[in-house]
Amino acid sequence: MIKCPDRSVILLIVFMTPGFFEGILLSQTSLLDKTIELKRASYTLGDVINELTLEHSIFFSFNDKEVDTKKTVSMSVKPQKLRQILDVVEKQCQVEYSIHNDIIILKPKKTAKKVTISGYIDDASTGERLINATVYDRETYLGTVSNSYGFYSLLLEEGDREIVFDYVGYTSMPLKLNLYRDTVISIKLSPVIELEEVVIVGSRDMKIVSGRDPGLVKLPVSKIQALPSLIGEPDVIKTLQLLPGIQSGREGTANMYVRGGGADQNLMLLDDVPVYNASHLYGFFSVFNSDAIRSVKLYKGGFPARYGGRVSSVVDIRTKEGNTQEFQGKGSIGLMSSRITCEGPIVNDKASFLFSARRTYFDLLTKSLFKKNLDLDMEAAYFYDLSGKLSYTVNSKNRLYWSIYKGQDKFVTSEETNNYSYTEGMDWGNLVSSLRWNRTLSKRMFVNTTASYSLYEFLYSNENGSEFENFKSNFDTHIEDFAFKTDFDFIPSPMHHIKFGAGYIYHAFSPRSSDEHYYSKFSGFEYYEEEKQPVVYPNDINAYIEDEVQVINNLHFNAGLHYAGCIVKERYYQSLQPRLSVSYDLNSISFNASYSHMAQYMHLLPAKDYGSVTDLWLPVTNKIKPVRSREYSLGSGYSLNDKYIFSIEGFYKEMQNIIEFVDASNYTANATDWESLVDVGKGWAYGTEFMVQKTSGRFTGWIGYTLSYSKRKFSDGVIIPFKYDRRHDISVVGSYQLKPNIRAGFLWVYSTGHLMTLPTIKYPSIFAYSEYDFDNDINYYKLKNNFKIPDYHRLDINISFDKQVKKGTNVFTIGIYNLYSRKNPFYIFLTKDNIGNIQVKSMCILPLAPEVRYAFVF
Amino acid sequence: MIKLKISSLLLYISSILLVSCEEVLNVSIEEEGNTVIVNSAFIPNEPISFEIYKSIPVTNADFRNIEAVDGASIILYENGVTVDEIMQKSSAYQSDFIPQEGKDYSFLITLSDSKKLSGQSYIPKAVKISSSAVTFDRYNNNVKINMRFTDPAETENFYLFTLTTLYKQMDGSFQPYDFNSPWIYAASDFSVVEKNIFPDGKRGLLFSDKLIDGKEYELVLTMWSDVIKGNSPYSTCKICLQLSSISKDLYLYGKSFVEQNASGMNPFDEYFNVYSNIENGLGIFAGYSTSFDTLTYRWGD
Repeated sequence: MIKCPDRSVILLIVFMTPGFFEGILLSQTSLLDKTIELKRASYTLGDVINELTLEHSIFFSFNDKEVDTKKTVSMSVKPQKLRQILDVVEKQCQVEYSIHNDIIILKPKKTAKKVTISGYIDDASTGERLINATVYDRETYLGTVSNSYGFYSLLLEEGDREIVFDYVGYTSMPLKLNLYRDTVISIKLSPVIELEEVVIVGSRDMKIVSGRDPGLVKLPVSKIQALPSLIGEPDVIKTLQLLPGIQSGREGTANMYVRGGGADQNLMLLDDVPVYNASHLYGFFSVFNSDAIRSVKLYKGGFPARYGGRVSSVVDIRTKEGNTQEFQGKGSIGLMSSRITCEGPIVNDKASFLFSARRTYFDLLTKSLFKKNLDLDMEAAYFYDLSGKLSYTVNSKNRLYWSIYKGQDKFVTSEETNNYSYTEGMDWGNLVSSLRWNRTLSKRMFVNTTASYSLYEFLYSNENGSEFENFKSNFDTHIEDFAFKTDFDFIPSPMHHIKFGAGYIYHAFSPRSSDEHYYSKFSGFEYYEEEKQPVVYPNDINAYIEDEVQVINNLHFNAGLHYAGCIVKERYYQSLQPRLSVSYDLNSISFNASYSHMAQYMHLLPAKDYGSVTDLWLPVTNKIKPVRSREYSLGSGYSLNDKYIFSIEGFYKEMQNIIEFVDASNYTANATDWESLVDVGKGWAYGTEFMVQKTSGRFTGWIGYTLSYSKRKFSDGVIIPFKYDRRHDISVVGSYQLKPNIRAGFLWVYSTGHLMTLPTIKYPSIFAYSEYDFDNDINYYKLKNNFKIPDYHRLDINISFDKQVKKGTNVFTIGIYNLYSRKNPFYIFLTKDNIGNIQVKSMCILPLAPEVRYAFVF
Repeated sequence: MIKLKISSLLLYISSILLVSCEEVLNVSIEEEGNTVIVNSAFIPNEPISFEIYKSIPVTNADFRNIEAVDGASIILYENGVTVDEIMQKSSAYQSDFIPQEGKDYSFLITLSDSKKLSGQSYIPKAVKISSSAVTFDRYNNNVKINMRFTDPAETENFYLFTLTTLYKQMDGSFQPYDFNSPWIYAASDFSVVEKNIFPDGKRGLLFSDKLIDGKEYELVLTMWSDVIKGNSPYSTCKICLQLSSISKDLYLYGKSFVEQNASGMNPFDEYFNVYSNIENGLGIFAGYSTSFDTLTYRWGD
């Protein structure tokens, strides 16, 4: 390499050469057209210069104080002309080149004035804001993505630019602009095809796997609705359970266990508001109506600093905003439930609404069945949910959203025998509402302010008696949140996307209030007792800052800090939680790593083992400290022709201050002293998740496999496996477009059976539990989780027929859940046979269930 | 107390989601060796005896195959001082020492093939029944029994109340009714009376002084009239009231025993073990003392 600190000397020599002007053109042309094959794909500028000089005798001249030779540059390893190489160098290293006498002279690019383009990206057909849409400059490849409210901001040099707006499933829109000042451009993109893939890890250039966001799953709503489902009710949580690292609980339930964490360690956000009990019908369905959902994201690791409050996962669900262009509706009628969703403009392009409702009606269908077989009157047995949203664009800078969700389950049964009547009822549900205000503060700064309310309440009532006596009881537990938060997006340059914000939550935990009333005409005895545990009012505060940084080409960081504090009963807990995720993209292959520290200021005290509605949410106390976790992950992704995506991610997670019952003896009666019933310990989990996806073509789908280990250790010092320590978890999911209007889907799942605790020995008591002395067995449970139930597997299939009609589309779906009727245990129990021998028995449900659904869009 | 019958509803739901099915699993529950069981409930003025045997696998149908432990040597302590060394007599381990109420007792058992076992407890002082009465409500055809006592203040007290009935026979003797125990279907305060339990086949009520500490308390029991009729209607009936002051160990043992049995009905309940105060083994070593009262009901009175 020739270095010329004084360029004037060279120029003087060149100008003195005879035939200079003629020769210069010829030599420039021949030199630039010289074909060169570089050895590597990634270089520093200095390395490029060295290789060209040493291997190809191409000489450079530059001032090393002005030209940064450490800048990285990505090159093609295919044979190419020098001109192409220098063009890349010019673009990526901010230099200009010229040739004088076969010497390439590099000098820094003149600094151009920076201008910002910003605005919103919408769906042209519905007016919905598009989340994570890409905006980039075609020449420099500098770009950004839109935030959760469709806002983007991109800082570029002035001049003629071709800006490309892009979103998966939509027609990309290139726009040629002469940028000379800050500009606001709001874009509407038109959809072209339906999303058909599950995207693991989003990225700026919309490669499905780029490794940019470790631990992130983006689940297209269309996929939720296309897969076979239990009795025809598509379910968000159950679809998430099919992905690596996310395990289900008992057969049929919607509990999630993410990377060895507990069911209470998942933050379920509906439009930014936590939902405490995300299941209907004892967990057989989740509360989220898929027709009203716009996007679903789940973080199982690499948590951005903006999230906090739970230690194992964040499920961020956004509902649709409502079509601002035209009235639209969709609905479905199934075997057990029906749904309807309507949306449309109130004022075109200005205000819109969305309303969605769902109700089950199996009480109507099964009323006679219960009466006949169980002699029970099923007075009520249903759930319903209602969602509503209003969006209002005040002006180009301000937008308001109001959303509300109300879901309720109700079960009432009664029985009458021998003049004795018995009625039992349960009623539980969530009410969630939020008011959000989006404001564009400047071309580079966006703010969203949210005020929200969340209520989960469970009520139980029981009345029994005869004409001679009567007993009534009521039980109530609820948790109520009032929250306020502000989130800022600041995009100072394409290399940085800074998010910061703060929030406050006022909780009201009412763990238990009950009353009982007894009256006997026989004795005249009357008894009334009312018990109310004091309501606890913890105050949570949080603040965070995170920066998505592009350090050098293809190397991205998301680094942040989350601070959380909780004041409860004059005690203040706080934690500073660092978060970091790193990714490095190399064309089709990517690598990622992450570290997350999380804290959780509430516990779920499980009444039962299946995610019961009676589970109590309780705040941290002086004795029971917050749960904390640290999670590390390392992964890689590989994209083959953008059709097949291979990904692998390993994780290690440790959790402190997790709780477990030591004495679960009817704790609802002793809930005042619940702290004495639980043991505090720690847990850890590690494993590897593999996934292969096919994302395009007539056949799409994925195979997921998780190999994981999850352990717990409590005060006795014994290391035990976690109840859902499932060693192997496999899911095979696919859908095939048989004809343009016929699609077949299937899913097969397999997982190692979960663990449960069975007694191993027994001995006689000095008491009996009946008048008969031989009823005196005491069972002894020596080790927790000592019994593995049989492995779980099942195959579901369905087929859908679409028919275009005058006013929309009709879809008829039929399918079978558990096609080969695998008898997967729902629970295991001990019982005696006819001659008194003890047997281990399993209770299986859902040996085979049909799916029949008629859906319509209008 | 509220009994949440959620599991029953859950099973109803299961049946909605098509036919549920039961299946016997051919699995063996791993046995982790025998554990030595020590049971001893002792009262004042009667020699302390121990039952020592080995636990059996949970899959065994009953206790016919339970194996008594032979050759154990037991040292008995009163207030920390050795008072007896007990050797096996025939199949039982019975002390010659007579314990007294208000004192602490402990033991150390040495076995040839396992760790030494130990335990300690005490005999609480008996609480006297200060008054009692029985009334028959002809209109409602039920019997009400009132029993009054005063809970000692400044100590934590636990009680087991039992009731038996004897009926005058033709020969003038008093004999129990065919059914062992009368059904107490209402007690005066559900929050005081916590558990129904069956010591020696008698229906008992288990409770603590948590809500009646240091107070005079009247327990009112309501029963069907059978309690005073027996199998020879309208004969004279004796109702024997027994108020046992039990050690905390016995209270915790009894309470958790009843609860374990109740939870066995619900496969979704978290499991838990019955209380034991035997170090290196299982079972119970606990004292109690009882005060008695007898009511006589004569028809026509």
